[in-house]
Amino acid sequence: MDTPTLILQAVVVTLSLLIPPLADGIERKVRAKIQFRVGPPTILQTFYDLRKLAVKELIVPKGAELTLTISSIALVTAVTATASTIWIVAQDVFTPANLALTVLLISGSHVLISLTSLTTSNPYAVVGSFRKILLQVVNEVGFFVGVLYSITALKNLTSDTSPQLITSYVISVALVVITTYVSSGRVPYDIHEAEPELASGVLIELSGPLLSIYSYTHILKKYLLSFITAYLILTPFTSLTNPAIKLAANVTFGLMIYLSYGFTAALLGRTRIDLSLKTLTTTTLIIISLLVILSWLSSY
Amino acid sequence: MVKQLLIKEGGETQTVKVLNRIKDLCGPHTSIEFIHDKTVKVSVKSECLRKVAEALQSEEDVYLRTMVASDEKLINDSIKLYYVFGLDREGVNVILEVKIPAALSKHYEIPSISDVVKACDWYELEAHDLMGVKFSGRFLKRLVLPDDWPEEIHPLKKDITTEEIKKLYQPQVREKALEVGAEEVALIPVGPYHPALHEPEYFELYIKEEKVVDARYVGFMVHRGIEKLGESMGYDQIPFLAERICGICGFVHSVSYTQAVEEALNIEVPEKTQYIRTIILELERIHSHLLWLGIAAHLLGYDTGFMYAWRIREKVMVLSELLTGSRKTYGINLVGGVRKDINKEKIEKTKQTLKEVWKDYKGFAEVLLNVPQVRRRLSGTGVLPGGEARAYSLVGPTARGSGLSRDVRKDYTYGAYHFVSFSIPTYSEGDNLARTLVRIDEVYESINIIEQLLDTIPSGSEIKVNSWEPQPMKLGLGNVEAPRGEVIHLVITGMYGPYRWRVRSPTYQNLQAVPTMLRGVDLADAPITIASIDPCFSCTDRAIKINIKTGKIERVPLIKLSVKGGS
Amino acid sequence: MVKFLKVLKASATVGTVTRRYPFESSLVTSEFRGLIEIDPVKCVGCGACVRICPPKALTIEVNEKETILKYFIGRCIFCWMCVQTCPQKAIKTTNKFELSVFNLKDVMRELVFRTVTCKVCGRAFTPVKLVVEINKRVGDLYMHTDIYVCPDCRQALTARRLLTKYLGRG
Ligand code: SF4
Ligand code: SF4
Repeated sequence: MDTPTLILQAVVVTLSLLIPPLADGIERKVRAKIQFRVGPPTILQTFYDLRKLAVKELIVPKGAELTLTISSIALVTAVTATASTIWIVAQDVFTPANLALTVLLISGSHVLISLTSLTTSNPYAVVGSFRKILLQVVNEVGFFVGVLYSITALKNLTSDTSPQLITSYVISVALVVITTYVSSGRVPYDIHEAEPELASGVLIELSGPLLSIYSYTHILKKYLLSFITAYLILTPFTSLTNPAIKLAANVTFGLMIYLSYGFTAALLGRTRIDLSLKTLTTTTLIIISLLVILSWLSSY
Repeated sequence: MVKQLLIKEGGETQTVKVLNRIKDLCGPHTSIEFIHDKTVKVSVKSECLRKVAEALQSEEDVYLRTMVASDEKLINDSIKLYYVFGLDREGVNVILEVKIPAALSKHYEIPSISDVVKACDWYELEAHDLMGVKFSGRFLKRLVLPDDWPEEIHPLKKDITTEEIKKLYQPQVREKALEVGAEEVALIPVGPYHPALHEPEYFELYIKEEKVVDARYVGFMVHRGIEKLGESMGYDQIPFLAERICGICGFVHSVSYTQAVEEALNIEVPEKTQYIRTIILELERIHSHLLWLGIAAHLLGYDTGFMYAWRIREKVMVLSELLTGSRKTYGINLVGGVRKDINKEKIEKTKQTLKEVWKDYKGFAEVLLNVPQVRRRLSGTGVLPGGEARAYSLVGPTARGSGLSRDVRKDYTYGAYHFVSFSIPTYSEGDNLARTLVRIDEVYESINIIEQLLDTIPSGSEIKVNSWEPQPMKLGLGNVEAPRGEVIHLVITGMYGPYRWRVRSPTYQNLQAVPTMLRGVDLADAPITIASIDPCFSCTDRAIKINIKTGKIERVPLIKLSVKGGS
Repeated sequence: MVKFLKVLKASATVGTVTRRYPFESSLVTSEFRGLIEIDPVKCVGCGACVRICPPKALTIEVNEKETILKYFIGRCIFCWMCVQTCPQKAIKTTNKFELSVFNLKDVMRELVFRTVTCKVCGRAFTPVKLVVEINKRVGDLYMHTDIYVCPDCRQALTARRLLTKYLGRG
C-alpha cells in the first residue's frame, strides 16, 4: 500500500467521522421543512448538541457502572468498523478475512450499543433494549446475507450478465436497503425509543457525556450503513478506478441515502413490535429464499 | 307542565310513563314538581331509591347524568342527594331528591345503586369522601381524597371553611420525600427522560406477555377543590374559575355554569348572547379536536401529522383571540350575557378563516387516515361495544364511536343550536378508529354550524341582560356538549354566589369505561386507547406487573415480558 | 394508499409557519387582552376592582398611615373585569403579555395612598384621596365632617342624631 492511498484513507475516515452529525443536522432541517417548521438554527446543530452534552458533568446511573465502559467500547468499535469499511471499499480487497472482520466489527458495535442500555437498571430502558435486540436479531441476518450476496453478485457481474445474476443483485440490494433502514431506528422502527408507547426508551438513563457518546455512535452507525448501501448501489453504474474520486462519490451518495431515509421517516407512523417483527421476518425470509433459489438456478 | 307534555306527543310520553312508574313504586303521595320546563324534581325516600333507579335504568335512552350531594343543614336541616337522570328522547331531566336528616347523617345509610347504575360508582365514592354520606351494600373506599386525609373531615360540608381545611391538611410532601430518601433519588439524571405523558393520572395495567389483561385507574391526584372554592366566590367571578377547570375546553364549563344559574333564576338571555356562546363553543370544539388528532398522531409516532394538525389549529386559536380577546380561557362569559360582541368585520374575517381551515383540514384528514401505520393501529384496537357504552352512561365521541348517538346539543338543546341544522356523526365499530372518525367528522359539522350561525346572527348590540336578582335555594342545570362529551353543572343558588356548585366533566363518566377498552389490547396500544376517550390529556405513568398469585409487585418481569413480547 | 404523500404538497405550498419569536413579532391580534396599568393619578383607592377581581390579583391593605393597592401580575388572568368596574376609569389596558422577570418584585405593582383616620375613634379607615373624591362628587349632600368618620362610628353618629332630632335629646 502506498503512502498517498494511506493518507487519502485517513482523510476519508476523518471526514466520515465528521459527516454523520452534519447529515443528522441536514435531516433535522429537512424533516422540519416537511413539518412546516423552521427546525434547528443551522445544520451544524447536532455538533453543538453533542458538544454541549459532552462537556456536562458525568453522571453514571446507579447500578450501571458498566454503561460508560461499554458505550466507549461501542464507540471505538463503530469507528474501527467505519475505517475498515472504507479501507475495503478504497482498496477493493474483498477477501473473506477482510469481510469477516468488518462484519464482526459492525455487528459488534450494534450489540454493544444495545448493551449500553441493558446495563442500566431502569426497566424501561431494558424493555426498550430488548425490543431493539429482537428486531436486530432478524435484521442483522438479513443485512449480512444481503451484503454478502450483493458483493458476490457484484464481483461476478463483471464477467457474467445473466438475468439471474442481475435479479439476484437487485433483490439482495433491496434487502440491504430494507435492513439498513430498519437498523437506523427510524420510524416506523423506532420502537425501542417509543416513550409514548410505554415501557421503552433506551436513552432513559443516559445524560451528559454518556448520552453524547451514545448518540454519536448511533449516528455514526446509521451513516456507515448508508455508506455501505451506497457502495453496493453505486458500483455497477460507475467504473471509477481512482480511489479518491471513488470514495468521494461513495460518500456523497451515502449522504443522499442517509437523507432519503430521514425523508421517508417523516412520512410514516410507528409500527407495533409484533407487527414489525412479523413483517420484517416474512420479508427477510422471502428475499433470502429467493436469493437461494436464484443462486441454485444459476449454478446450473 | 305534565299536561303539556302529554298533549304534545299525542299519547303517553316517556316522561309521564316514568313519573307514573315512580308513583307506583313510591306511593301516590310522592312529591313531583316541575321546577323548570324540562326539569322535574321527585322526592324519593331512601327505601325506594333502588327500585326507582332500577326502573329508570331499564328504560331506553335514559341514563344517569350526574349526582350531587349538598349540605343543606343550615337551610332545611338535612343533607340532600340529587340524582339527575336524563331522558334523552324528550330532553327531560328527572331529579331524584333523597333527604338525609342532618342529625342522623353520621349513621344514616343510603342504599347504593352502583350495581344497578354502573355510572354511579364514582359519584357515591365522591359523596362519601367529600360529604360523608354512607352507602350500604357496597365497598366504600377513598376516591378523591388523599390517603392521609384525616378521617371524619368532609371538605364540602358547610361547617368547614377553606381556611380551616388549609390549616388542617398539608400534604406531607417534604417529609415523604425525606422518608424515601428522595435526595438520593434526585441524583438520577433527568436529562433526556421525558416522563411518558402529560397529566398526573395513573393506570395500573395488568399485563400478560404483551397483552393487557386488566387495568385499574387511580385518579384525582389533582383534585383542586374548585367546587368548594367556588362556593366562596361571587356569581360573576365563577365563570373565570370555571373556565380554568379544563385547559383545553374551558368555555364549556363557563357556559354550563352560566346556563345553570340562568335556569335557576329564570334569566332570559338575549338571542345574540346565545349565538355568540354557541359560535365560541363550536370554535373551541374545532381547536380541541385538532389538538387531539395531533396528539393521536404523535402517540402513533406520526409526528408530521402532529405538526400538521397543530398548524391548522393555530389559525383557530388566533381566530378565537380575535373574537374573544384571548386564545384560551376566553373570559367573555357572565351570568346573563357575554362581554364581547361580534361585529360585521369579525363575521367576515371568521368566515374567511373557516374557509381556509376547511380546505386545509380536509387535506390533513386525508393524509392522516392514509398513513399505513396510523390506520392499521387504530382499527380494531380498544374496542368498546355499544352495550358497554350504554351501561356506563358514556358521553361524547366515546359513546358516538360505539354507535350511541348521544349528543346534548340535540337531546337537551341549549344556546343557538335550535337555529341550525347539523348532523351527529356516529360510528358503530367502537374501536379507536371509530372514535377518531367521529372527531374528524365533527370538525366539518362545527365549521358548518358556525357558518350557519354567522349568516343569521342578530344584528343588534344587546348581548347581556341589564340586571338580575339572585334568589336563594333555586336549583338549575346547565349542560353543554363539550368536545369530550357532555358537561353538566348543577347550581343551587345563594345570595352572593352559588350555595352549591357541582361540576361533572365528561372524562368523569368516560374514564370508567377505559379498563374495558384496555382489556386485550397490546401494551403499545394502551396509550392511544386511553387517549382515545380524549381524557384531557391524561395518560399512563407506568406499568407494573403484578403477580396475581402472590399479589407481589414485581418490577423485573418487564424484561421477560419484552422478550416474550415478540415471540 | 399513497395518499399520505400529499403531505409533501401541503408542505410545499404552505411553507414554514414558525415565527421566530421573540426575534419576530408575536401573533397577538388587535383584540388581545393583556396586562393592565393602574393610573396612580386617577385611582383613588376605592377598592371596587379588588372586590371584582376573580383570582384576587388585586388586593388592598389599609394600615395606620397608608392604604396600599397591590397588583400581583403573576396572578392576573387578563380578564379586564377591573377595567369595567373602576368608577374612576383609572385602569388602562395594554396588549402586553411578556411576564418573565428575574425578581419576584418585578411582577408586583403597588399604589400607596395616605390613610384618613376616623375623627371619632381614631381608626385608620380609608384613603385620603377617596374622601376627597367623594366630597367632590356628592358635594353638599353630605355633611362635610361626616366624611372623616369611619362607617362604624358614622352609624352610631347617625343614630344619635336621629334620636336627638325626634326625641329632642342625645
Ligand atoms: S376601582 Fe379604580 S379607583 Fe378604585 S381602587 Fe381600583 S383602580 Fe383605583
Ligand atoms: S385583569 Fe382581571 S385578573 Fe387582572 S387585575 Fe383586573 S380583574 Fe384582576
